Amino acid sequence: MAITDKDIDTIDQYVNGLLSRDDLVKFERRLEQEDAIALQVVSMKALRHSAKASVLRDKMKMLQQWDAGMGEVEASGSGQEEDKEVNQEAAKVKKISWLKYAAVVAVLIVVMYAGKLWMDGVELERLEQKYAGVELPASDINRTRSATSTDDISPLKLRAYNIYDLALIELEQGNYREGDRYLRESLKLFEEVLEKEKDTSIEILINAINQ
Amino acid sequence: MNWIEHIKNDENRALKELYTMYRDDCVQWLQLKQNLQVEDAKEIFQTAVVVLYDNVISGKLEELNSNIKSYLFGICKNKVYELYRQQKRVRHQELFPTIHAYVMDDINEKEALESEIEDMNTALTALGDPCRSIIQLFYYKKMSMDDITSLMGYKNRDTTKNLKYKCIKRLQKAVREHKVITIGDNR
Repeated sequence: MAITDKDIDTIDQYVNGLLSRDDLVKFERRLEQEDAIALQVVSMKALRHSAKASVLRDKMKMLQQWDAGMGEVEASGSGQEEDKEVNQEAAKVKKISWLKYAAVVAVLIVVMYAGKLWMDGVELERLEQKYAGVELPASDINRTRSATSTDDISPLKLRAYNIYDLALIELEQGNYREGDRYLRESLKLFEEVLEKEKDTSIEILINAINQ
Repeated sequence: MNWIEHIKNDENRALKELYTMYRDDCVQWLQLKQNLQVEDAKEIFQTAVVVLYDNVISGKLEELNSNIKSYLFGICKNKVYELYRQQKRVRHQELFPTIHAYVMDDINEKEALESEIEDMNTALTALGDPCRSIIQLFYYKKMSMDDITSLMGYKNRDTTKNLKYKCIKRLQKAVREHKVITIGDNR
């Protein structure tokens, strides 16, 4: 049976859910019995979707035509702004990181310097307590030099006496750090002399210094 | 600006304004955040604008809870995830796979209708005006016969109605012929 214009209207109403209850019952009876009606329903449903697809495709074409006239995408959109912000943040982090390291190094230097000053102060106090008012035995070198020729004095002993003399001078002037350094150096040399020359006067001097 | 009303009142102008305003931002964003090539990013954005348009025309979108840019970006994001999955499902070479997939996703009786719709899409594209416009206005935009008569400048409602019947029959004839040709090609 051929599809009439009225059938098309009825199917439109059916597809849109606009048939009355009675008309719906009648139409569904025809739908079961007539293959042409069933095929037409499928066709009309497809038509609705095709109409939609057709309009949306037209819009896509229209957008593409506009796009072609707009030129390339400019690198000034939010994506780039986000990128820029991200880069700025990264640069800020890098700068902060560099400053942080510099600050840490500066603090360490200050702390180390302060520590050194403090240690020096403590050491100086210790040396002052150790040497202030203490009388060390006088150097024997003058006596040794006047009694005998300097040729009789070993270079090691001469050097030990010379350094001991320096220690006495520095300690007398209150330069305890230098005096202490010379004194320790001379003691070391005197011990070497004692070991090599078995000189009892040196042994007496060492004992006197240590006391 | 009330974009929904703007689209309803002057759709092409509204879409052009939207497209011009947000294309670069959205395409850049899709390239950077979704790792898309520029052409894919453009198609996703174009699809998003068309989906927005469809939501307004179909009445799915009556009010915007966010701003229009966020709404468009949201559609873009969803379309990116669907893009490759949907491209795989398209059986033949589609001009706009994203639009095809969008339309097909909206169909309940998909399996029964898919073949019929594909044939009808081809026939409708070839149909030309005024039939194409009448079918689009009546079946997509749900315009009344009187409004279509006025818009198309026809004599009266009956003229438009008769033209619509003739157009449907021409379209269905073209679909049948296309099917015959396709079956013949397959043999």
